[in-house]
This record gives sequence, C-alpha cells and structure tokens, in this order.
Amino acid sequence: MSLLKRLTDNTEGKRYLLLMKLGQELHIPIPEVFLTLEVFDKDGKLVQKLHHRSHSWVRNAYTHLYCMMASANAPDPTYGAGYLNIKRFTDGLIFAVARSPGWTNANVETIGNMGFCSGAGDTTFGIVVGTSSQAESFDDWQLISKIANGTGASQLTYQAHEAIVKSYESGTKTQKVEHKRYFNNNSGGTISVNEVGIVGRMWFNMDSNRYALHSRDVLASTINIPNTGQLKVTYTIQLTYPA
Amino acid sequence: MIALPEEIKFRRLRKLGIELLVPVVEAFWEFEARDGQGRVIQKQRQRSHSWVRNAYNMLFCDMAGRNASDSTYGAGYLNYKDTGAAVRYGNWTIPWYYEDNVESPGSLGFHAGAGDASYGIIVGSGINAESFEDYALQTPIAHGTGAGQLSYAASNSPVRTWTPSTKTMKSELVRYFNNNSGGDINVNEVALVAKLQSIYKGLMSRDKLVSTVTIPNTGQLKVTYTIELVYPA
Repeated sequence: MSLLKRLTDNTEGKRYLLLMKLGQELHIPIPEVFLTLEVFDKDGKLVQKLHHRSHSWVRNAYTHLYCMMASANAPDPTYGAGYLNIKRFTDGLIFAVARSPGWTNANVETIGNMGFCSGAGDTTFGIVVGTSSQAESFDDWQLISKIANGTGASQLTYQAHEAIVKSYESGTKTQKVEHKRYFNNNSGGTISVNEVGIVGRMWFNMDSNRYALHSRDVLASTINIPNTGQLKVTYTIQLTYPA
Repeated sequence: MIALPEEIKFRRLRKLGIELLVPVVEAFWEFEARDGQGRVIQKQRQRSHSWVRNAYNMLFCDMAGRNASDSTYGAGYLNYKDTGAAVRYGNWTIPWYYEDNVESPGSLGFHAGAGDASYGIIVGSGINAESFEDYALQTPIAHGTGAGQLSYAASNSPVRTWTPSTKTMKSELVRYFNNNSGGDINVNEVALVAKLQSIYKGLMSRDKLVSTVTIPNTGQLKVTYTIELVYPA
C-alpha cells in the first residue's frame, strides 16, 4: 500500500496501527491501553466478556506525562486547557505547586503504595467502576457514579489489586503491564457497570494522597454482575519500542 | 532544516494522536551561533529524533505504574543506564525520585547550574550516528576555557506557553555556551540529560546535528530544546 494511502486510511483499527508504526519509526513513544472486563457467576462460569481499547487518557494523565518528559512543574491554580496541576479524584480539589507530580521513590508495585495498586476495600485509587454511561470527557477527573465498596444494595466488594503481570514481546518489541482487580457482588441483586477508570495515587505538594484519575472509559455495552457473581477488570498498558 | 517527507509523517502522527486521544510528545532543537560581536553567524533547527531507551523506560514505568527493577540493560528490561555506563535499577520508577522544583537550576530534572556539564543540555563533537542505546555523548565538550572547551552557563528558566488554537503545551529549555578557548569549536552532537535520584545522570535524548555548528573564539552558542504535547481539548 502506498504511503499516501496508508496516511489517509480512516478506519479506527488501521489508524491505531498506523499510529504505532509511525511512532516506532519516528522514535516517538506511544503508550496504549486496553480494557478487559469478565463477569463470572457464582459457579465461576464466565457469563460476559468485553474487551476494547481505552480511548480516554484524561487531563491529569497528560499533565503527569508532560511534567515528566519536559521536566516541568505543575503550578497553575486553574484546571483546564493550558494549565498544569492535579485535580483530585476523591473531592475535586486542585493541587498546584512549583513541583513535578509523580510517584517519588516509591515501590509502585506494592499494594497501597504510590501508583495504581490499591488495597482491599479501597476505592480512592486503582481500578474503579461505576454505573454512569455519561459520555467520556478529556476533563473527567472522577467517575460520574462510582460504585461504593461494601455488601449493601448496589455495592461491590473491591478486592486488593492482583500482583501486576509484566511481559515483553520480543517480536513486536512491546513492553506490557497488566493491572487486575476483582469486584465481588454480595449486594443481593444484579449490578450494572457502565464506566471504569484507573486512578493513580501520586506524591505532589508534599502529600501522598493526591489521587489522580488517569483514564475513564464508558463501556461499549453494559456489564451486568449477578448477585454472588464476580467482575474481573484488567487494564493492559503497553509501549512499543523502536529496538 | 526539517526533511519534508518525514515531516508529513510527523504531522500525520500528531493528527492521529489527537484523534485517538493518545499523547504524542514531540521535540525540536535549535542552534544559534554568534560571533564575538553578537552577530548571528549560523542558525539551524531540526527535530529531535532520538529519545533513547532510558526515556522510553522512564515514560513506560511512570504511565504503567511499574518499577524499573531489572538488572540487565537492553530490550525487554526496565532500568536506566547512567552517563557513566552503570545500570541503575530498583523498586522504584525512574523519574525525579523525590518531589523537587524541577525548573530550578541545579535541581532534579533538566536544569543544570553554571559550569555543570554533567546534565541538562550538553554538547559534543562526536559524529557517530544516533543509536537507541545511547547513554552518553560520544565526545562531550568539557566545561572551561581551555583548548576545546566551552563555558556552560546555567540553564535558563524554562518558558512554558500554551497555544489555544492548536491546543499545544510547549516548554522551551535554553542553555548558552561561551567559547573562550582561544580557537573555533565544532559541535556535532547534542543531548538532554536528566538528573535523577539526587546524584545520577540519565541521558534521555541524543541527536547528531544536521550539519556542524562552529563557534568562533569569543563567540557564543545558544541551544534551545522545545518539547511539545498537543492536547485533545
């Protein structure tokens, strides 16, 4: 296929492939994210599965990336286009200071530390789920209707994150990490999930509780978790290297 | 000087990134040489093509929440190789190690102080082709006023701008180099080196210049590194 044809092909799958190919060729790192949701009934039988790309790095993730790659501080008190700061997942507070947000020197693979690996019952960071099907926005900083932790009506029991799974595919030169979390439904009824997010616990402004939503996706179709059933969510984050 | 067919690919890449909500970080170099009277005698601009393995590992560890814990350096491993060729790894991600004002000269990050040729924007005379495995300049030019040396000024405070029409966040990192060596100095390579974990230095990008930049005795070189990210909104 000619260069011109490849550069103008518009189907989404092909555009992603071209994005990856161009990034690899031009030595521009292109991080990709995929989501897999699997629902199991009380007998452990898989009853529903959904797999798609995560389209929705949000503003906090761009801030995190930009501050790291440009060695920039995030000192702007206003949240929105043209500003650098962190808007907190749990309450919408904006944190801005002449410092660079990140994970500091933390072991980000330890449960409950900085990063994405939260502990059992913790809905302040890590993988979180909700019921809203409101369209995604680049300015999302929270789930629209987060499902609470618990066994009451409409609640899910959030398990601790699984140990992350690391892999490298030498053929495609792709570094990959899988973040997994289970959610148990002991609410007494079916629970519908329409949105999912991943939240980082960041160190910023001399505090470790800067929870920043990095991505929010509305699911292509509703996921229904039956009573006594279980949801498994897997976020796969990958980067293709030039060599 | 930016090659046109390649530039078409970069533009397509940027457009795809915007449409698909995938961040695409771009970088450019600009070199401006002046003579002893302050006249511009040479100027060139080129893309930085050469994020190296350290930069990819830093980005991946941060965005994916993974430690840089592999003791082996190379394809499939996460760590960084410092400018002294030591592999640094541990149960941490690569960035700035502790919270710091990364825009202050001498701090963690890319902003080195006066006379410090170990990090920030640094220049060299080597002509080897770029490699993804580069971890140091081939032939760094030392700080000083002796033969073959340049005086490294402190990094300027970075200038950050936002262009609403293109939704582009841009940071300009600038460093001056003065030539009081008594002779011409040729610059053929340039690098961006980060200060990490308080003491170590990790090369993030190395580019060979499109053509040699010659700084006459008593002249000055200004190097500008521009890093850009186009936002979806």
